[in-house]
Formats: sequence, C-alpha cells, structure tokens
Amino acid sequence: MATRRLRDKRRPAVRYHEGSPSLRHWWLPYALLSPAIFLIVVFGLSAIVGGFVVSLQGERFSSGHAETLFVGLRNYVAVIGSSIFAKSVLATAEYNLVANPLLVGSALAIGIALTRAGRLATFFQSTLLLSVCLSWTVTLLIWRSILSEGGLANGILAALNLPTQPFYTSASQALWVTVAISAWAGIGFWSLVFLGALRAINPEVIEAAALDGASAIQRFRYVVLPMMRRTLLLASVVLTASNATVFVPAQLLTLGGPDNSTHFIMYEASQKLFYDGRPGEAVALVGLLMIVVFGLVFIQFRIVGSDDA
Amino acid sequence: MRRSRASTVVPYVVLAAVAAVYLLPIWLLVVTSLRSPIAGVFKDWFPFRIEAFVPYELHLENYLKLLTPVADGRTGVSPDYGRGLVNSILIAGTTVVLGTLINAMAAFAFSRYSFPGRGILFALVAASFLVPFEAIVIPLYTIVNGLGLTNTYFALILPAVANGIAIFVFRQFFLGVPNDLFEAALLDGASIWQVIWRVYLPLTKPAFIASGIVLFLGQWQAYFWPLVIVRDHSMWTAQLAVATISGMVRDQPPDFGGMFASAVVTLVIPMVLVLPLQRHFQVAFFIGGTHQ
Repeated sequence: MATRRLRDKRRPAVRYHEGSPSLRHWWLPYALLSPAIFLIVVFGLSAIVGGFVVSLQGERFSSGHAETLFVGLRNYVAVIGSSIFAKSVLATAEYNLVANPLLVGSALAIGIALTRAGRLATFFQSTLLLSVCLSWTVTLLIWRSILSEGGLANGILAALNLPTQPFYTSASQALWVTVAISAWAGIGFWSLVFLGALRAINPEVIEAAALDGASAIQRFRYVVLPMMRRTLLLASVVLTASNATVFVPAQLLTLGGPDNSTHFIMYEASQKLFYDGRPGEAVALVGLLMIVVFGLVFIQFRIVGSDDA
Repeated sequence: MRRSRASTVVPYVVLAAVAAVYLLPIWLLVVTSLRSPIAGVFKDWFPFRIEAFVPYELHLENYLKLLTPVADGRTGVSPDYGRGLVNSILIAGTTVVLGTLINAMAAFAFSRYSFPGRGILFALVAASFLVPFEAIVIPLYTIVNGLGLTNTYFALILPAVANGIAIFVFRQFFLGVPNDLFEAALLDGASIWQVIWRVYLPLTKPAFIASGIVLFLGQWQAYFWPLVIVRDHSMWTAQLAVATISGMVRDQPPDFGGMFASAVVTLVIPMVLVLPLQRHFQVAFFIGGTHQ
C-alpha cells in the first residue's frame, strides 16, 4: 500500500495511508484505540492468561485455611483421567459433527431459495430475522414445553395414533433434540448471512457459465461455492468455536443427562467450578477444549484460505 | 435462463415450510401466554386439538402478574421479572452507547492510520473475536471476583463493550469512505471531529445500526455470564428471570403462565428494535460485512 511519511520529527515512524487525514498528533490513533484495547486486555487477554495460571494451581488445606500452590500439569492429568471425560468429549463431538454441517447445509439451501423468492423474499427474510431475536432461554422454554411428556408434540403424535416419544428425557434422543433446537435457533441468522454473500455474486458470471453449458449442479459447485468461500469459512470458524462451547441446552434442558448423553465439556467445566469447587480443573478442561478448537480453526484456514487472494 | 416449473416452485415450498417452523412455535408462545392461568395454559395440548393455535380467549392475567410481584415464588411469578427487565434495558442500552463509540474509534484508527504496533493490536482484536466468550467465562469469573466486582453493573456491562465483530463492521464501512472527502473537508477548515460527525457518521449509518444491534442482542440474550456473576435478585437480567420463572434454574417451581408471558415480553423487545431497522442491518452486516 502506498504510504507517505509523516512530517513529525518526534515519531518519524508513524505513517498514514495515502490520502488519509493529516495526522498532526502521532498519538491520535493510540488514543482512539486505547479504550477498546484496554477492555480487551482486561476482560479478554488477562482472562486467557489468568485462566492458564489458574489451571496450573491447586489448593491445599492446612491448619484451617486454603493455600494456593503450583501443581504443574496435575489438573490436566486429573481432567483427562476422570471417568466423565470420555463421555463429555463424545457428547460434544457428536453435537458438533451433526449440528455444524446441518446448520451450514440448511442455511445455504434457504439462502439459495431466498434468491429465487422474488417479491416474497422480504417476508421470508423478516421471519428469519425474528429468529435472530430468540435467546437461548426463550428458545429452550418453547421447545421444553412442546417436547415434554404431555407436550404439544406428543399431543399431535397421539392424535395421529403414533407412539409418543420421550424426546429430551431419553438417553438415545436427548442429544439429537439439543442439536435440532440449536439448529432451529441458528439457521435463520446464517441463512441471512449466506443470502448476503449470494446476492454479492455477479449474476452475469453464473449466466456465462450457463451459456457455456454448465448444469445447475455444476454452476453451484464450480461457480457459486468458490465465490462464497470467505463466507463459508466465516460460518465454519464461528460455528466451530461457538458450538464447541455448547453449554446452555445442557444447563437449562437436560442437566447433562439422561445418562450423561448431553454432558458437554463446558457443562462438565461449570460443574467442576460451581459444584466440585475445583477451578483449576475447570479451567484446564476449557484450555484443552480451546487447543482443539484452535487446531480445527487453523486447519479450516489452511484448507480454505490457501488459495485465497 | 429457462427454468423448469419444479425449480420455480421448490424455493417457495422450502421457504413456506421454514417460515412455518419458525412462526408456529412463536405464535403458540403468544397464544399460550394469553390463556387463563386458572383453566391451565396448556389446554388443548394433550390431548391435542387444533384450538391450541387459536387465540379464542384473551386473558391478560399472566402479563399483569409480571407487573405485580408476588413475594412467594410458589404462588406466582417471582418478584424478579420487572427488575430483570429494567436491568437488561440498562445493561444493553449502556453497552450500545459505550460500545458503538469505543468500537467505532478503534475501527477508525485501524482503517485510516498506519502506526507502530498496528499489526499486533489488530491481531489482539481478531483473537478476541475468535475466542468464544463462553470459553473465558470461568477464568473471567475468578478475575472479576478478585476485583470485587461480582454482582455489579460493571461486571455485566464492561466485558461486552469492546466487540471484535463491531470493530470489523465499522472498519469495513470506514474503508469504503473516499479519502478525498475527508481531505476536502479538512482543507475547507473543518476539524477532524467535525469531519467525523458530518462526513463519516451520515455515510456509515448502517455500520452504527448493525453494530448497535449486535451489541444489544449480545447483551440482551446473554445467559451464562449473568448466571455466573449475579448473586442476588437485584442484579438479575430478564433472561435469568425468565429461566427462573420457568423453573429451569435454582430449583424454583415453574409458573407456566408467567413463563410464557415473560418469554413473549423478552422476545418482543428486541423484535421491536430490530425489525424496523431491518434494511440497514442487512445492508451492513450481511452484505457490507461479508462482501470484501
């Protein structure tokens, strides 16, 4: 990028973009950034660093009061060795492996349908925007009532002479119920994001491909998908990070059960902190989860971003 | 391009189904909230009758109960909903005001100036955007606890003010403002603040609306952090109140009428704010934000 050197003897290294406003004061950008950076450092960075420190600490009770001491990686070992660890990893993995593709696939399909909805598109978009206003609490209380033993869903099944279902009270269904509910809550937002990306594609490019004899599937695979690479990467990365830390459905709907089928990693971490009084282990568990998340995010950037301009 | 009949009809069928999947449960929520709490709000659910979806009676008791707190959680809505609503409005409102200002300032610096440390600071913002907030809740709790800030507005507001997404949205828009405009205004003798106020603000209104909505919804819908940091009912948010009334937390017996009424109020407030701004929001976030 073309830059000009600022005529300021105090800080000759400060440059500014070509044609950007005259920078009379070298400190101006720092002053503008300082509140945001201060808050990110205090409530973001220090929590990450502080969390790492806590994960290396334990408590020893001696002569009536607790004493904090350095325990190395003992919290990590304890976390991995605990009997619930494998269960919570499995529940979190299953949830993510189904929820993320389901969300991206459905949202993409709805986004494409919206580009073909003509005048009605505005109405459907408003409906999807409604879903953006739904919080976890409201979402879960709606579905908790509908899917309860004597709820509306079973009422409809009974009226149709079909067997009623246990839904979130059964070990075999609970996980899939939480997946479906989170998909319901999230698809609206991502459909609108994908719609934005689809509308940003120049229609002439797609028409040119059609004139060259590309079928609808080929146009999608070789023209539309590559042009949506950035948006799909964004969705994939954000969903990986947010769904890996799935917590609220377990807290509000299933309490990690039945039979630990929804005992997600973050739920286990919150149990360790608030019920077992083991903050070191709780933070170690979250730390391990974050290492996996960053690994997955890195891989996604490598796959999608390698040929990115 | 010629299209078969199927490819014209299928999108409408898909979208109608999707709209039904969203609108029916929300409609059911509203209808049920207007049922008589004495006859039972779940009337017609099981055994199911289609009247479950018909608002043939309009009882407002469930809503009135929200306004008149009952001390005993067993007999009615817990006394927290009104307080929770006021707290949520205060928290989300303050976050929007502080957040749009602070994030716009940061984005302005990133989009207009080069300076030593820019790369590191930008990486810091990007990292804050990639680490999910849920992941830092537990260590953040120990820090905020150490600062003696548990159960305060500070603890509920400050961690959400600096927002990576908002900074990205602002930056995207600021980069789109031609530098010539800025230079011309400065040459005409305007101060930098006048330029920001008169040139940037009008041109980047969608960015302010989108960031404001992102900040508002983030705070309005927050659940995990308030759950962890709030100690007593005086600091409760609307979401915590709804969860409590529903009997989903803290071992309180559910009040189903109050649950549906409070859920409707909690859902309607962001809807009233977001839907009228729909056009700007979509321009900014879904096109401006993703179109590079």
